[in-house]
Amino acid sequence: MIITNIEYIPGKTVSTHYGVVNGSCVRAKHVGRDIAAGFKNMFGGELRGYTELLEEARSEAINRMIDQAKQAGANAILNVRFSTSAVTAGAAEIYVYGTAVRVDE
Amino acid sequence: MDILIFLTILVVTFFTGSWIEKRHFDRIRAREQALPKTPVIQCTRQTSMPNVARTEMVYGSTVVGADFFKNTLAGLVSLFGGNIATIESVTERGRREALIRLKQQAPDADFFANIRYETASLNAVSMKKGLPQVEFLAYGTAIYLTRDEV
Repeated sequence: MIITNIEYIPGKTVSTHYGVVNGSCVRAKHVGRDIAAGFKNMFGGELRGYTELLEEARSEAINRMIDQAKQAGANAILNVRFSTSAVTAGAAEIYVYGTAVRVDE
Repeated sequence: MDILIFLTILVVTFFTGSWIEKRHFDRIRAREQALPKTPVIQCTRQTSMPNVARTEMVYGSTVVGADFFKNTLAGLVSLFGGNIATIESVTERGRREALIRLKQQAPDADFFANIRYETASLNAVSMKKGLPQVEFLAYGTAIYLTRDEV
């Protein structure tokens, strides 16, 4: 599975187009991390707990997108975009979407 | 008594905040120097993109918060309007850090195409309470060119 956020793959041609595939993941920050991060927040610096949390959520969302593309029979996803939003207090949604295609040499 | 606690926290976070920020900037500069000077471009369609061996999606992210002092000052400044320099430095740190992490995922890439930045506030809903926590994400495609035999 080739994933890229440019609109084509150099040297390859798109033969079939399967439409938009997407993956999302809503993950809550757990209380312990929340307290630690809140404390860290007060004094400044990177909130590593949250960075890791969002990283995990992002790879989960990507995996879901890949599964969807595989089911459609695609072998590449083009023009991938990310978006993050805080849906409720204490939880973040990671949304990733792209165009599933089949590419040939 | 309450005002005393408030002032103490303000003073303490001023020192910790500026110390952490200075250290972070030092670290960012050092790592930026250490990284190869790979071109980062924002366009998707190159006029010519010859000899591409493979492409790979890369991304880097970081969550940075503004400390208590910065936030209090920002609240004060927003009464009168104007640039909030203390928060500007936070966003600058976040973006540079994100780009460094992106580059570290593909140290051997020949260039990075279509770099995008994404910014998201993690406590947008509960904005009234709590300090700003912002996620900075940079993503793009690392391009590897085929090497000519020497």
